[in-house]
Amino acid sequence: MYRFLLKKLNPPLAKVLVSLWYAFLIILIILLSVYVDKADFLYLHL
Amino acid sequence: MHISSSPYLSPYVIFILVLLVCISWVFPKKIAMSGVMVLSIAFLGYYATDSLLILLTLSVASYLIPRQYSFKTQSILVIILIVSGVLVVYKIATTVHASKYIMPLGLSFYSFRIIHYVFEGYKQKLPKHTFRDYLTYLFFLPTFIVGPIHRFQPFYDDLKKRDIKNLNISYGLERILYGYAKIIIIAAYLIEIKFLDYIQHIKTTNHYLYIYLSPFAYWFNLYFQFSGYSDIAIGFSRLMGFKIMENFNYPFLAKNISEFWQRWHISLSTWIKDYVYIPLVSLTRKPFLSILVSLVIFGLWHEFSFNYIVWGMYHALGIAIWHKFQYIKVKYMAIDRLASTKIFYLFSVLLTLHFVVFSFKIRTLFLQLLHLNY
Repeated sequence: MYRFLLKKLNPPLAKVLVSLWYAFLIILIILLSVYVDKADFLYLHL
Repeated sequence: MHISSSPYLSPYVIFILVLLVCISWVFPKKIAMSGVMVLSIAFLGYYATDSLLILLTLSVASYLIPRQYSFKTQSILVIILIVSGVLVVYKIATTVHASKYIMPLGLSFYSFRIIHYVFEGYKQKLPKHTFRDYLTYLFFLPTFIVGPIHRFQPFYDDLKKRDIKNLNISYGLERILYGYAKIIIIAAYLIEIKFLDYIQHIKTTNHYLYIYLSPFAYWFNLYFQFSGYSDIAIGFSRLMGFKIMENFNYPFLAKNISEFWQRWHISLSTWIKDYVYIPLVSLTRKPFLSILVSLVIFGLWHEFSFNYIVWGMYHALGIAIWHKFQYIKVKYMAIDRLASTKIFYLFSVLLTLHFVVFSFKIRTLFLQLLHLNY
């Protein structure tokens, strides 16, 4: 992902965007795993 | 704890995998992977003692017996018969008495790795290695439960040359993240909840659309779950310094059924090509018969039932028709020109997608027509 962004953007901006993308995915995985009742793997028993 | 159906959703499996990654880099290089192997075996022994006993017996037999007889044909055949016999017995037992018997953990993948190993030994293509290397390969936990069915030679190369690289770490973590994104966001949420809700909603209002969309939900869910597991397995392997073969390459974008099988479950389809199709073609000189047998074995690997024999035959028929079409294309220039247009390309992708997605429905209809109890 980072290498793909590097082709289009400068390195600092690419780093920020890729970090935001990973953070977005991680948050979405955590929230949805709780919603779909598959959060055991994160040790979340909410 | 049940870890066979969705291993990467078990906190215990994740914990042990993270621990294995740490051990593989923290321990001295000479003993690190042995530590990984011992811990993997201990973990399996704790959660599935019966499975471990069967797998260890098969490992010892497949290492010692061929060596005792210098990898002669008979010794290879004995090992293949024993390993495939154990697999077939368990496949039948778990199909007929699903509630009574449980498949040993990872046996389907494990037995195919052993057959690959002895075949390569027979062809004298195995690098010089020890029993410890062999066990490290067979009990490599990231790929142990749900594949891919990776090969011994590249694994051994990585075992000897592996090194910590930033790129490996970032690539591995990214693949693990994408794997979980596929399993949780796409498969579990978008397909299992949103898409299935929509399908249930239209069941009464538009029954034909419901019948049409249901197989798509099944296949897309299967694809995103399975490729998600493969991503996680590849990611954890990369974190330990191993490059494991890919298992999927956008299979639903394949433009014919032959290409589909080169993009779907690649580690299994290449295994079947190397150890079933090519030997059969060499022996019989009958490509279609070899394709038929290969795809029936592909089906039986999933479940040992008549259903999957018919399913394999259906796909073999698809490949035969596609081959026939290739001959027609060469014969008639007009068809060849039409086949190279963009519209035909799109049509081919859609046709292949529908051929695959409706394979179970068509198989069921076929069995109903024959009045067979499926």
